[in-house]
This record gives sequence, structure tokens and C-alpha cells, in this order.
Amino acid sequence: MLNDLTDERLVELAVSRNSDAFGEIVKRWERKIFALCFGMLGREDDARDAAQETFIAAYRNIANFRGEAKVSSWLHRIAVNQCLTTKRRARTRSEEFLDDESGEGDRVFVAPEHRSPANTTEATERLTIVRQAVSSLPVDLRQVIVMKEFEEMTFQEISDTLELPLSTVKSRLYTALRQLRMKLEQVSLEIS
Amino acid sequence: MNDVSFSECKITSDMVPYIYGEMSGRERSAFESHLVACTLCTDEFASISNARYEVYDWKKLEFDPLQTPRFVVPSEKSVESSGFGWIEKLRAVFATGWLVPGAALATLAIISVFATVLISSRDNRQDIAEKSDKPKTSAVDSSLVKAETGRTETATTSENRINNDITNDRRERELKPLRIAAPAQSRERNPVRNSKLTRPQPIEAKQTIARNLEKSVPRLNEFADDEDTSLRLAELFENIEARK
Repeated sequence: MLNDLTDERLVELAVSRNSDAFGEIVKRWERKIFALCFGMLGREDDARDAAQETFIAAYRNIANFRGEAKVSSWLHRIAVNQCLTTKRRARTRSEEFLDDESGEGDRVFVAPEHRSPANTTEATERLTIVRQAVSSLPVDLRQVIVMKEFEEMTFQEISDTLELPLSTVKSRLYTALRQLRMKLEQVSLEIS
Repeated sequence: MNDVSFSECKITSDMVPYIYGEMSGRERSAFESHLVACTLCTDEFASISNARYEVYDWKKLEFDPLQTPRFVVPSEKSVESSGFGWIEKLRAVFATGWLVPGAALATLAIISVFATVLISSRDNRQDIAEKSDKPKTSAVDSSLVKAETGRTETATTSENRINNDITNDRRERELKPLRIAAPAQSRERNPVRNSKLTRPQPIEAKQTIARNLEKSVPRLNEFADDEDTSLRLAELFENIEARK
């Protein structure tokens, strides 16, 4: 059965235009790629479009997949490029979707029951700040933190996917968290 | 906080794995022991953890409730293709194996062969029908044969027409006795015949002449060797005689 095969074997089958094999690849990676795109872009609709474009691009270029890299690396690379393209396009259209207060309706926010409306508003604002802070990180740092938090990958998995040494992954994540902390403290000071 | 302090502590590489719970039991104990002793590292650990949980909350509140969208596999979706999309589709058909396209091609070949055979047989039948209605055509062909110009008839169709006529004549002769055409009918049927034709001769002589002519005429069709043209010539002469 297809679900017993490795990613690389599925790609081989998909190269011979076996749509079921590529469908299995999509099924395995759709949540993680969607999570990565959401973390990188901060909006559900942009993340959905970027993830769809990722799979389309992967299908179109599947014949070029040499098998030297892992399928996860290949997909992540395509996804990050798609996210950057989406962001560049948005910048060209002068959209500031990450700090657009009026776009709150597009986001799904489920407030915990114990929170009061006042707290909910505060929480929403805080999320906006966090989203903005993550978006302002350099791409390589942002990607590591998103892969760790949104895709819930281990350090080893991130290391294999990004084809980086384990120590480099840990170091990048540490740097990302430090920069994030500084940005959050800066925004908190500005608000207060 | 001073970066130099932390590099001296050399625990930065352990802080992140500890935050995310990716440490062995022994390593965790050692790190916790260090945190107890080092306030700088404790403060650093606290601020880094806070930043991490801000991102964790963001993901939990905004991303986790989202349903995974249904991503359409490109083969199911009509992806905008470039002008070479038909090539990709053709490649896809042949990539699945040669069995299906091979079978399709074989079927097409068989159908085309049948069609060709049907069309050619229909053409032959039409020619035969034409010949039976218009013997003048055969007369014109026979005059060409008689003329001994050495002109090769351009198409095997003429030869085939002769052959078919001879076959039909032989068949007719077998079925009923040789009949002499009525003058009026023959005139109607054969308005083309005129005085250019030579004087009629006895049947045996006609056969001989026909045979000789047959030998001298260049053969375009090897299958015409067996055909006897004398009978048709005989009928021709009889018609002329009857007209006179």
C-alpha cells in the first residue's frame, strides 16, 4: 500500500504520473506545510494559497527531484519560497497584512472560556504583536522557530530538513528567541 | 545581560533543548543544577522561555483550531498550463505504460485497414457497375489496346476495367448464349462507335488478333496475363456488324 512507502519511493511513483502516489505525499505533508506557511505569513488565507501553490509547484517539478535531498527538505524549500513570493507580492500591492488591525475578521481566534471580553481584546492585541514580531525576523531564523513551534518538529528533523548541523539548528533557534524577546519587550514598552 | 557572560557559561546550547524538552535525564539534571547556581542564566532562561510561549500561544489560539484545507492534487485540477500542456498530457498517457496506447494504436490500424479494403472494394464494384451500363468506356479502352501506340495506360484502373469487363463477359457467356445486340439498342448504348473501327473478321481470326494484340501491349498488371480479351472484341465486332 502507498502509506507504507517512503517519501522518496512515492516521489518515484509520482514521477511516472501516478496521481495516487502524489496524493499520498500531499496527505502526509499538508498539515505541516500549511503550518509552516501560516507561521511564515501569519494569515490563514495567505497560508492556504501558499500551501496550494507549494504542492502545485512540487507536482510540476517532480521530474526534477533528483533524490539527493530529502522530500521534506524539497517541500520546505518550495514552501518557504512560495511564502516569500506571497509576501513580496503583498508588499508590492502595499498590503500590510501582518499588522493590519482591520484584518482581524480573517483570523480565527478562539478565546479560552475563562477570559473576559477585556482580556480577550488584550489577548488579540498580544497575538497581533507576536505575529508582527515573528514576521520581522530574518527568514532563516523565522523558519526555524516556525518549524519548531508550528510543525512541532524535533531538532534532528529540522536538521535533516534544512540540511544543517544539529548545533546550528539549536543556535539559530536560540538567536531567534532572543531577537523575538527583544522585539516583544520593545513593543511592550511602546504600548505602555 | 551580557553576551560574554553566557558564552562563558557555555550553556546556550543546552538552554533551547531544555526549553523544548529534548534532553536526556542526566543532561536535564545538570542544567537545572547550573540554573540554581547561575542567576544570569536563570534570567536569560526566563526571558527566552517567555518569548517561546508567546509563539506557542499564538499557534495554539490561531492555528490549532483551523481545519487543514483540501489541497487539490494538480492532476485532478485543471492547472493552467503553458502551450506545451498537450505534450505533458501525451507524456502522461505513454508514461503509464505502452499497453493502453499500444492497444489503441493497434485498434486504429485495424480499423483503417478495414476501411481501406471496404473503400477499394466499393470502388471496384462501382467500376463494374459503370462498365455494365456504359460499354462505350470499354470500347474506348479496347480501341486504345488495338491502336498499338505503345502508350502505357496511365493507371491500372484501365487494366482493371478491362479485366473486370472480360470477367463479366465470360460470366455472362457462361450463363446465357452469346447474343447479338439489336441495332437500335446498340446504337443507343454505343454512340461513340464509328467508322474508325476496321472491317469485322471471323471469330477465330478475331481471337488470334486479340491474342496478338495482348502480347504486344505492355503489361502494367501482371494479373492480366490470364485474361482473354478476344470475347470482348468479338462482341464489339458483332455490334458493328449489326449496326451496318
